[in-house]
Amino acid sequence: MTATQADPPGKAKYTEYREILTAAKLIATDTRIEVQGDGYNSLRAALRAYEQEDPDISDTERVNKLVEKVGAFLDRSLDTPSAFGGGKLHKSLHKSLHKSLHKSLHKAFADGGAVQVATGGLAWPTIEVPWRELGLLYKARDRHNWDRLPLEPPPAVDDRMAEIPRLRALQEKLRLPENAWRRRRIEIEAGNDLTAYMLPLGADVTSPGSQTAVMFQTILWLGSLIGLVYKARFNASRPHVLDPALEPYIPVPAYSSYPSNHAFQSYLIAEVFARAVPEHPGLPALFRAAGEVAENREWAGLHVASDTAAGRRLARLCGPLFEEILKDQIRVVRAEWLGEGASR
Amino acid sequence: MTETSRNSLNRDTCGSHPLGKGLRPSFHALWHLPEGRLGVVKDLTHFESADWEEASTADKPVRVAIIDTPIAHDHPNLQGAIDLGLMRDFSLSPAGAFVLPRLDPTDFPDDDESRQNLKTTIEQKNLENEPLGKRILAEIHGPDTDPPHIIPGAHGTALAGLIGARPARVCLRKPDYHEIDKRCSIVGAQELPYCGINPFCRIVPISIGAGPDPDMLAGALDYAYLIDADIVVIADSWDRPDDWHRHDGWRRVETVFLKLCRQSRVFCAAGNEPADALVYPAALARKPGKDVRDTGPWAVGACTLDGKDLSYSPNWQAINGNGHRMIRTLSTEHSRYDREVGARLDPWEIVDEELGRPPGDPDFPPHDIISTDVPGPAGYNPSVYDHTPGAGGEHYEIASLYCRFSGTSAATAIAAGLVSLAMQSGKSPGQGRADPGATLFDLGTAARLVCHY
Repeated sequence: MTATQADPPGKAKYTEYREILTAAKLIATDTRIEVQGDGYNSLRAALRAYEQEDPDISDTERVNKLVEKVGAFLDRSLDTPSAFGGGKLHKSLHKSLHKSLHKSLHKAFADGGAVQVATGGLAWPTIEVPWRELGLLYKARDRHNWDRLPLEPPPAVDDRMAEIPRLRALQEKLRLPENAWRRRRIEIEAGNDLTAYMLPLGADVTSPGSQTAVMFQTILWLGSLIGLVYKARFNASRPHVLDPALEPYIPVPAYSSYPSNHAFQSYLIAEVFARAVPEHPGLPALFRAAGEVAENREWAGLHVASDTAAGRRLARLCGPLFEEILKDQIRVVRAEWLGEGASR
Repeated sequence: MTETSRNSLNRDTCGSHPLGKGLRPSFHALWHLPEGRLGVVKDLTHFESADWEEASTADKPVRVAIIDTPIAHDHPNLQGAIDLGLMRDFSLSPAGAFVLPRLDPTDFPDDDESRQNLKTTIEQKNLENEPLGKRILAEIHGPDTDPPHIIPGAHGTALAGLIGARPARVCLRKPDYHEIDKRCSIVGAQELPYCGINPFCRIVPISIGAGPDPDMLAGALDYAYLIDADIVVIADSWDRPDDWHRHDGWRRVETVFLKLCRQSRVFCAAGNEPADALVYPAALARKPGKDVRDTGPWAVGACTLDGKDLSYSPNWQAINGNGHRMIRTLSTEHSRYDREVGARLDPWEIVDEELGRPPGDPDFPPHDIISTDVPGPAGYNPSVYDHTPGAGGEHYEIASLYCRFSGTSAATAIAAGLVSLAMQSGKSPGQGRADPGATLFDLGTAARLVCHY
């Protein structure tokens, strides 16, 4: 089965593809995937060449040990189908289980159920200062230019002023009795509580998603630092400075307004989790929750809408950076949701 | 040890019983391709395929655009499958950016030709001043720019593999487990006998982020329209707000999407909505009729070999009853376990107490869909080594190149692969004009869809 001279290039490809497909097989089992075939013979030949040609080997016992060690490995693979290079095959997400989760999430959000639950923060795992990840972040600065990302400057002051009337309207609505739950959420979210992000994923006190919580805490830490870089660069006034008649519901942080760090960190959590477990059915709900956390800062009178939009934009720009520096955490988070141990 | 467990151990060491480890027998990763399944090749021994042979000599390859996560274009089984010249990312800006801003025409003649043709198209259609066209021309003519910071995603890579992966060979190195190993570098060629449904098509990755940003989606759809893709794959659901009519961005997404559906064959995953509903944008799939001008995309659900819905896939009759059009093809997992489908795999009916093994059922396929994965420590099936092999580089293992894949996403990729092969090989549709959604969507049904719909 070899290509003839007359074969056109396309037909030669067809012939070549069939050669490879018939020479070996890719076999999957419950937990492994491996190539079965004779491709390993070239490795045996390499070993023989080594035995004959390496002049430095004088210690017979050492060589024998090497030959015994590698030979046994080769024989095991050649006597049975070759398994060299094969490895673990993880299970895929269990679709039907996730469908159930997905449905319940939608229902919860449609009814405002999850929102109601989230008015009381739950106890999530906390972390110390993430020194290792901080080091990785600063090592990656020149490669990713994370302090020079193309984030547009804030709108002109007149345009920002035009956003204030909406905040005044929200302020009035926030004082109504039926918005007690939102006031409570604003208070909880001021402290970077994880409840808003964990509940959409199906994590609660009975299945706390510890690795996920740890990764989210790390993102909050690192995200805060990046956000402050941009806040310092643009030094935009807070809404209550633009309009002293505004009465922010909670104390106003000392940092400037643009971009909103809560919006940035919330959407960053969603972006990174979407990269870690892309098929998680709670992702749409997580993005919506991120949006709610961000919007609550507008209700509280701390940010105008353009601050929120900039935070979201900055989160998207930082997604690849965080996927790189958190790659080890992403691996264990994925393992956590796939119901398996980490791969190493 | 109980009698039952002794028996099960004996069975496992007896040569006449199924091979494999754990609770399931082993299976060929390309089990879905032969006749009797998708009908792409005759069998898994000789891999003869009249359709592959025809497709290999086609005047030009079918162009399949995948709007999804970034694709690992360095994957050895995707070499030649990915159009590097058109590969574009929209996750970071609405007008997007070429993933590889500079291509050496000597090394990548086909890819460079694609990009030059795109430039010509923009000029001929007078799109130089449109945001997308303007941005693309600026990238082609302007100074060298850094490539966008994107990282390949497992989902898009798996879609691409099912559609257009090619068998390949790689250089495999035995890792040094011990100091003594360093005296003996063992390197050899290793076949990678994995193949997509149409290994002669060309795939254009159009990458987007997970956040439902309408500007990003509209940009990606605009681009798929601009490159005139024959087939577009959207194995995703876009979470648009309930009041989307009030948002210019979402209205534009809908307009551009329907325009794209009129030009290309668009396949969308049916998704995990309630059993009688489709996710957006698959929900725009409509049965043709006098009141329906835009039939929109083809929604794709998942079924078993004998056409029974899989457990997570929307119910075919209910979807069709609601006026949508949906086809169904293979994916991973078992069919529903209910009164209609009958007893397939009853986990409570245990015959092997030690292993918890349920009784075998000839109708229950123990196979999963296998596809390509991001090489190295990322992806669905991460490597144990902290080593990411580059294009043409050495590999320590091959397992991380592959993964299980499932859902209506996998079914969508399979449907798109079958239609692309039917188009490229000019496959005859045969007699009749059966409803392509009624049975397992295989190559013959794909040919009928290409011819009649």
